[in-house]
Order: sequence, then structure tokens, then C-alpha cells
Amino acid sequence: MTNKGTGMLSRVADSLYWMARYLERAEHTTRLLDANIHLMLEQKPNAVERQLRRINLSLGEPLKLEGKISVPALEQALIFDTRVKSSIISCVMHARENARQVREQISSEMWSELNGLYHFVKKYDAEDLEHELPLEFLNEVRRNITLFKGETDATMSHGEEWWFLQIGRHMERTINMATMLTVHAPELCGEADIEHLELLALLRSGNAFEAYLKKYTAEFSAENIIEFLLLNPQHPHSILFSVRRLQDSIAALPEMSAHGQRGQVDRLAGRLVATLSYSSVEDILSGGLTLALENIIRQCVQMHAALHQAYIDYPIESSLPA
Amino acid sequence: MPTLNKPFDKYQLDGAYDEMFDSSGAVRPHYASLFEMLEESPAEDLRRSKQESDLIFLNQGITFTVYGKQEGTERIFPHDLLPRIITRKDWEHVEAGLTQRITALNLFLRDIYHEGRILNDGIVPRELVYTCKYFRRQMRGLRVPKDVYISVTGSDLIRDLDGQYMVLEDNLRVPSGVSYMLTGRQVMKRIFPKVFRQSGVLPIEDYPQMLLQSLRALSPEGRDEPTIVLLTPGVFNSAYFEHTFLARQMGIELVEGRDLIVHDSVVYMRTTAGLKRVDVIYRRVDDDFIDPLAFRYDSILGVPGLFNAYRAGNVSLANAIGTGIADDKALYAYVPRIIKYYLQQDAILPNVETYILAEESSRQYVLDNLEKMVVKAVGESGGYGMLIGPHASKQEVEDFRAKIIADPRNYIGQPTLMLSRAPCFIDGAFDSRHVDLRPYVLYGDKISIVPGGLTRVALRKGSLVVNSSQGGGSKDTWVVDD
Repeated sequence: MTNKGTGMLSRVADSLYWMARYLERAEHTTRLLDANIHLMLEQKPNAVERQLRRINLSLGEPLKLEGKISVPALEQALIFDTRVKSSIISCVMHARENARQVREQISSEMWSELNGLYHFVKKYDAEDLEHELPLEFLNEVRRNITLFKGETDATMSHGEEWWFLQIGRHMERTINMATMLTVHAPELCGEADIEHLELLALLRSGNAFEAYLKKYTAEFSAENIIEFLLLNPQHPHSILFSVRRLQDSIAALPEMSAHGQRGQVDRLAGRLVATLSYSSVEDILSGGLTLALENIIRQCVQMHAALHQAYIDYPIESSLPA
Repeated sequence: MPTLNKPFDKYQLDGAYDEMFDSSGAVRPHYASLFEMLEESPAEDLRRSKQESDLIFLNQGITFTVYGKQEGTERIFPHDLLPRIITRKDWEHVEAGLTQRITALNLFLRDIYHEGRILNDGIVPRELVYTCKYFRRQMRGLRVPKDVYISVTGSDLIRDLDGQYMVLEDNLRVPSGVSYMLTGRQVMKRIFPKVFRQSGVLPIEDYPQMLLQSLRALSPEGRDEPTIVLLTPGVFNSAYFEHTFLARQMGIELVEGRDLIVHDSVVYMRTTAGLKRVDVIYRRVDDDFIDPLAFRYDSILGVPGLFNAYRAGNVSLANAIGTGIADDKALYAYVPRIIKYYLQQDAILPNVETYILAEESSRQYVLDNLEKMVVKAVGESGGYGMLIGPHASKQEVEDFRAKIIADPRNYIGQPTLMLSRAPCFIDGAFDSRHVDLRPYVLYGDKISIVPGGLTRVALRKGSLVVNSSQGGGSKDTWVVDD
């Protein structure tokens, strides 16, 4: 029998990576909306306006907002507008498109969950949601994505294909969390006011509210929140947790033949993990929170480029068999 | 005309060969156990089975794309609940006929791309070959592994009024539909396990393995552990589902043109572990699009330099380049003579009578009888570019007349055929519909054919068009012991 050896098609790896990133992005947008819709119910108009701008900036690719914005208008844009890159519909469509390209590589169960999510989101009309909060809708989206991840872990071999999904997911998560924290950095560093409820929404957006309470009780301090979202080693949405998963996933990829091209990706991941592992929250605050977060995002971008260079779009000459 | 008892009382029996009933209305013996089951089953049960079957197809995403609209539309491929049953004796006849036909057509391809004996001997007009748009000059003098040009064929067979099998056309380029044959069988086993067991149906499940063996037989010299891939035009192709299905069933990589690179006349695929050499390509991309340097320069589906690698013998293609010449609809008329020429045998499976419109006398006859004829554009497939005289409007007939006069080489005429009919379960009742049969013929070290094939059904009542893009569906096809 033919042994197929290691390695998979680069195009397939790229599609899997992006499928996972788009789904993670859809989840991020969903969580942001979900956490903040609750909050804004109790806020005064100018606080609502400020919060809407925060939500918007916490997205990877924020909308250009002009003049006054309203809650329904932003909801509508972030859920249904296909022109908005971070909208739920856009992310789900892109994830499905990537899955369609590699239909024979993913399990039927995964395809059927993702396809179901796509049809669910598509069948809703903005008008359906005009007069009520779309919490039920958001919850359903979140549940579908979770099901998809469950099917992924249960029905797909945990081989290279699966590791590329993990890389995509944790790369996206790291960048999203860092972006969201950057938006809140002035408040967390005491340079601007922030209400208790807004901190609560921040933790909820990071899926971390109950986990935070267990560790620090219901007393909110900016320092503890930064520590938890940035440096907690156990919480799956903290940045340290995500970059460690990123490092593990990269280590599971095959060494490129003789050229050791994985080295660069490995090195970048290892450096980021080390920096965060050996930092205390005091170190980070004294060096400047915004600067630290910018560094994390920059290193993620470098890692993405190195990964692409090593596995997807490498120069032919370097890889011809001898 | 005999009338049938319930539940077949609405069943149309006249005017065509019926697969299940003879002309007196008696059930043919090989359909007896199915008939018994249908008589006993309440309509409600069958309706439920039909829903169950539809659901399986839906969930598996067994779809095809329809062209000719603004954008491709994805549709579920309709699958009829009742199998089409063929006796082993009939099947052995079909098998022998197809083996003979494909052997001869393969010899013909080798000949016209090398010595051209059949042209020199005046059996097939030289002009007919050289004016065909599927003739590839680049293939002249090029040796292909084991001299096998057509690794995969799907010939379309019909049955005349007496039930005689005839070849309607050969599909020698990239025939599709085999995934419907295989998935249809899986569904039927789940829905009718009992009849299935009683009938002793010959298995077809080894098709992917046989295909893989045929492909492996073509590996270039010295490549004992060949890497075999399936080349697809991509996700927007109408048969993309089939491409993913076959790649998965064979356990080979599904690649697109952009995954492949040619360097020093060797083909590689770009993998995460570096470039990996590719030895055999089961390509589902037409000749025209396979290499922009050798054929259509505007193709974005192909692999630049692939033809050079092929010419150098470093990679094998299945099917070979340039096989379309042998399924050209004008050349079809010569196939019985081609068989006689190479094998000194009469054709086991006859052709349908065919008029070549480039010939003056035939053209006049066809133009005079256009409303009774079927006229096909020689370069089209899938039921596009076709006139069915008896079903066409006056305007359509006149439009076609003008087209034929403008470019006679591009058309052939055939008398209107009667396809055989088989029972179908439609809207909760039994009725008969016209069917054809597409067996899949594999050619590697030898020719092998899985028993049966894809039965295509014209789902519209009275219609003779079975193509999936034109309202056709499929049936599982059982070959059983008599």
C-alpha cells in the first residue's frame, strides 16, 4: 500500500486556518454584543454612546462611525451587514466558504453544523429583530459555534489538519482579546473613568465573569482584571492561555524538510509565551499596558506571516527535493 | 392494451419497452420480488421511505450545479425510490459489448495519434478527424503508459422497442455521475434491505478501489509507489461534490490547479511538508483548461507546464489528452466500422442510426424531416444544444434549421428514439418514466466494469431527456441472477 507520509496540501491548511479564524471572530462579535446589550439596558444615553464606540473599536476591523449612533443601528451592522467585515453574517459566510473548499477534509458532522449555522443566520431578517433584543439569536449562534467546536474535537483526527484549526482559533483569540483590552487601557490604567457595570461587560466579553469571581471574588479592581484577562494560565480566553495553545499547536506541525523553516514560527511563539509567562501585572503596568498589548498584536502578525511563509506560500527553490 | 391491477392501475404501458412488465402486462420474472413488495406495502410506508431517502441525500449534500442561470444554483439530485433491475444474462451481453467497444476506441485513439492507418485506409475520413475541435495535434507521436487513453468511460445506453440495448453516445472525456451510483446504492440498502437480500444484487462498492488500481496501473516508469491525485476545477464546478466524494473514497488528495507546480518537467504539489512529487493525475478538468501554456492561455484552472511534464513521461493523466475526438458525435456514426477495422468483429452493441449532416444526402433528408428528428450539436454534452423535433415549437425547429445550414459539420441527426420505461414512485403513486443506462468502464491493466451503472430517469412525464441539468433524476441499478 501507498504510504501517504506527512504533510497536507498547503491550500487546505490555509483554508482550515482561516475557517477557524473566521468562526472565532464570529464568536467574538457575538460575545461583545451579548455582554453589552445587557449592560446598555441600564445605562444613560451618553454612557450608551461611549459603550457603543468601545464595542466598535474592540472589533478587528471597526466601522467608521460618523455622528450619533444608535443601539439598533450598530446591532444591525454587526449582525447582518455583509459589507461589515466583522459582522456575524460575514464571518459565518467566510468560514463556510473556506469549509466548502476543503469539504473532503472535514467531517460530515462539522460540515452539517457549520452549514446549519449559516442557514440559521441567513434566514433571520433585520426586521425580525427590530423591536426586540436579539439575545435569543445571539445565544443560538454561540451555541452553534460551540457545537461545531465539539464536533471538530470529537469527529476529526487530531492530526495536522486539526492543529491548523487550533492555530487559527488561538491566533484570532489572542488578537481579539488584546484589541479589546487596548480599547479599555486608559480606563484600566486609571486615566479615565469606568463604571462597575462596564468592567463587568468587559469580563463577560472575555467569557470570564464567573471564572473571575471564583478567583478574586466580586471585588473588581483594574489590576486584577488585567491580570486575569492577560496572564491567567488557566482561563481559556486569557491571552497567556491562548498563546500557550498557539505554541503547542505550532510545535505539533511537521518540520519542513531539511530547511528547518518551522524554526522562525517556533521562535516567535516561544518568545511571546516566555515574555508573558515571566511577567507580573506590575511589570506590565509599569512598562505601559498599551505598549505591551501592541507588542502582543505585532508579534501575532509576525507569527502569521512566518507561518504563511513556512507552510503555505514558501519559495519553490528552497523546497525542491534534492 | 392490458390494464394492471392496483397499485399499478394508473401505469402507462404502451409505446415503449417496459423494464418491469411484458407486453401482456405480466411481471417480468426478475422484477417479481420487487413487485411483490410494492403490492404489499401501504403507500404510506413508501412515502415515508421516499422522505427518508430524500433526507439522506439532502444531509450528505449530494448536489449538482445548474448552469445557464445568472449564477450557479445548487440542487439536490433527485433519486427515485424504485431500483431498475437488469438480468445477469442481459448484463453479460452489455459488458461484452462495452469491452469490445472501448477496446476498439482505445486502439483508434492510439492509431490516429500515431500512424493513422485507419485514415490512410479510408475507413474514417481524414477531414472528419482533423476538423474536430477535440483533436489535439500536440498528442501526435506521444506515447501514453500502456497505450491506455481512456481510463474512465461512461457510455450511455438505451433500449429500443424490443428491449435491445444500443449505444447512444460515448463519454470519453470526463464522464460524471458515478458518485450518484454509489450513494444511491447506500441509500437503497438502508431503505429496502429485505428485497435487496432476496434479489441477490451484484455488488458495486469496490468501484473506488478499482478506479484507484486502474490509475496506479498508469504510473510512469520507475515510480512504484506513485502519488495519485484528483484534479478538480474547484468548488464552483457542477460535479464538485463527486470530486470530493471520489477523492475521499480513494483516500487520495483532491487538488486544484493552483496546488500544482511544474519544475523541470516534474509535477509537484505544494504541501505543508514541502513540495511532493505527483505521478498520476485523475483529472476532472477538460483538455482546454488543463495547461494554459499548451491549450487555452486564459485558463486559470490549469497548471502551466503540465503538458510538458506529460510529454516527458513524468506524469500520467487519466484520461489522456485528446480522447474527445473519439466521442465526437459525428465520429460516433463510424464506431461500428472502427470496431470491425481493429478487431475484425461485428459490434455487439449496435449504434443508433445516425445522419452526418456534413454529407449532402443525409442533410437533405434530415432537413426535410426535422420535426421527426433529434438533432444534436456535436461538441455539446449534458443535453445542451439539442433539438427534439416532436417536442419542439415551430420557431425552435426553424432556428435549428438555420443553424444546421450555417454549420452542418457541427450537427448530427438521429431518428426520434423511444427509450425504455421503468416504474417510478412519483407524487405517492407508481408511474412509468423513460430511462437510460450509463455503465462506468475502467481501463488500467485490463477493462473492468462494475455491474450496473447509473440509471438516469427523465422525471417529466413523456420526456426523453435524462440529463441532470434538464430535469433528470437517477435510480439505483441492480444486476441480479435470472
